[in-house]
Amino acid sequence: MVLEWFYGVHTCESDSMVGNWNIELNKTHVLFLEDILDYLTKDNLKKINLKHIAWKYKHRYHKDKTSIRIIKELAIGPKDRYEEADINCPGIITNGPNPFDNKYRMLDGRRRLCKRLLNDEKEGLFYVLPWEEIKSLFVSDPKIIDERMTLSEEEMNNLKEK
Amino acid sequence: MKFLDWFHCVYVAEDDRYGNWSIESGKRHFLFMEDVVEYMTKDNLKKIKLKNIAWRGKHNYCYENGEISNKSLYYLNLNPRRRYEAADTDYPGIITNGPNPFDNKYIMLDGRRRLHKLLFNNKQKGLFYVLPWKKIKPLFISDPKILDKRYTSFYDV
Repeated sequence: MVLEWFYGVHTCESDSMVGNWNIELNKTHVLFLEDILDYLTKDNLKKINLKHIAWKYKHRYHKDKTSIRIIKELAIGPKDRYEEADINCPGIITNGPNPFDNKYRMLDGRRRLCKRLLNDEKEGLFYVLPWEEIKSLFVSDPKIIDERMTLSEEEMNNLKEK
Repeated sequence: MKFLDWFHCVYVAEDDRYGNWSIESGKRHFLFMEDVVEYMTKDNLKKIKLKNIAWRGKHNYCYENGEISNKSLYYLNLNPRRRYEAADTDYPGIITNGPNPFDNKYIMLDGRRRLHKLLFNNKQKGLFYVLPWKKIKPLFISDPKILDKRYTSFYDV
């Protein structure tokens, strides 16, 4: 049973190891990636310097570590998921706030970005989503989050058929 | 009893729980602050945007109302409290345009507590001694024998 990639979420929370990724003081927000599909347009596709992107665990990145150690320390496991990450699929970023004060914030594609860095690449193609437009799509109400994270019976059956 | 001066301290470049701050793979380097004193000139004193400076614990920064919490002191690596409280923002911090895990323009060498106080007071900019990375990079030491000698010399003052 495999869910489509856009059933993923980007979580904005504070964690001492990962950093303070909150977008509002002491509140956890979730962005459902299916809500931003409209923004994955050709116009928003841009070549971006990888240094300008903040991503969770970036501060622990070390290009000389073994891939297994990188996978473990940067929490980009499991190994097969990392290996399957296809760098030809552009990642998704936004010009929103982030704990590293970088120009962009990663929403989806940490494994792909990490692979590029390990390949000594400096730039990559990314969908750059306008922060002011997507900001309102972040959800903090626990009831709504719970409801949206639970699959309906119909969705479950569809998945089983796949 | 002898008191050490502020410059009898070191900046440590290593891979620790605050991120990968090492300047060479798998090695720990030390910068003796007394070695950079000559670069603290009027010419190197500049007004810098605080957002452009990488400092240990920055990724955990969170604005708080009122007094800084013990939790923040711990997670932002600003302990002990008495040292934080004594930090005087009128003294410029020391930064350099060297590599850092956040890919910021500058890296903090001395003055983390002062910088945090500035942020806490909603300041956007501050005065810093900006040291040229190319000149200070060779001053970083990793040889344990030299380190041992240098540490011991602190007490010969």
